Amino acid sequence: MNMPITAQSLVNNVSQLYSLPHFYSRLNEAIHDPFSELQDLANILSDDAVICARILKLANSAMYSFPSKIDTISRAITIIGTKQLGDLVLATGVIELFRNVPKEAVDMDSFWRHSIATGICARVISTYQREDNVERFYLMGLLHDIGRLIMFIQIPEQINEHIQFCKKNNILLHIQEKQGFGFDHSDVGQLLLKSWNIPQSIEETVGNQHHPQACTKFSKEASVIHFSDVVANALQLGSSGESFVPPLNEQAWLSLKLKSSQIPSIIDHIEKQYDDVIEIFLS
Amino acid sequence: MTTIKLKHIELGAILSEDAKDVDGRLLLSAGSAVQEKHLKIFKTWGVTEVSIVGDEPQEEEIEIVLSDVDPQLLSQIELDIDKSFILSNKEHPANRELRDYMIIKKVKEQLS
Repeated sequence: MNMPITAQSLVNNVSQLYSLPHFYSRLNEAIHDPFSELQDLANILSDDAVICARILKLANSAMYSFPSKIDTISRAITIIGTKQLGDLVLATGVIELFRNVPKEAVDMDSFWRHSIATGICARVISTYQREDNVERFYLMGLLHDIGRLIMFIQIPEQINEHIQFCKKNNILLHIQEKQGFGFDHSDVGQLLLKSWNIPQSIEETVGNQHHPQACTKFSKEASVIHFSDVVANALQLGSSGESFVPPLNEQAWLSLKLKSSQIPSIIDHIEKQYDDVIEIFLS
Repeated sequence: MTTIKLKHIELGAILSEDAKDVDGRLLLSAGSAVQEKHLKIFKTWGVTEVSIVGDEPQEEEIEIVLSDVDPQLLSQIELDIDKSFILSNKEHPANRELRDYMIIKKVKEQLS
């Protein structure tokens, strides 16, 4: 008899294949070590040429629109900030990690487009809210559907059947997932991030994206991600399998203290950054 | 007094209320005349509308663009977009902005 699928079993099955590089924990240690210097961080980063190149491109992109060219990694770290750098490296590393997923399982390009759009939107909103670390919001947006990716990789036929069913019957995919499996992609995502030992704020935000108010500690973060997911779906920038614009949670919307008239300017910022960031991460 | 979107404001218009960012931080006091540099500051901090003295007639951009569009094309586009919003409250001001933006975007794509 087959064992029933659980969110934990899906995560356990990929834990060997998709684990964060040792490099990330080394960098993280250095970032939080009060005695480490800028050059130490630059040295660790230079061990990974791909990530190094992407961070440099990112520092020179519309995301920062810095007036002069940034041509060394240590200068990039100064501009971006050390804590923020850790989050950006993680964002870059995760996309690299899943680069070799078979094409038949999932349209990776579309998946990351949706994730990146959500991340940029979250970053723009957090800038408006004057958050300290806007890259944390970018990272949370980028990772919000990572659990769906694990489902696409491991149970592609089942998840694609659910997608078709949802399309036909006007149902949200995460509700259908819960109905069919007893858990949804946010549960899988949260467990995966927990297994990676990444900060609790990210893991809990991802786990509570569909009911932000349930997240006592990080309801602000979860509300930003929830709304950003609505925006990315509405703008049809890529897709992670959802066919509809998710209903906006009114409490989450009110907690953002945004005016609806700010939405065109948020979209404007997203559009200015989107092509640049896509080019850097997906090329 | 009237609330006006930044893109419709004329330089020199007088604020009838303080302009504040999301956090309530004061950006420009009531009574000041809006200058180019203020528009830049508003934009940086996500302020998209302010209250000004007088009643400025406001014409919504969406109406200007859409009134020239072939009604059949427009209703087809609206139908497509509405399909994606089928589970959302279309009357919610945030959804209305997103929907309007997408309709204009699709119209522009069709016309270009």
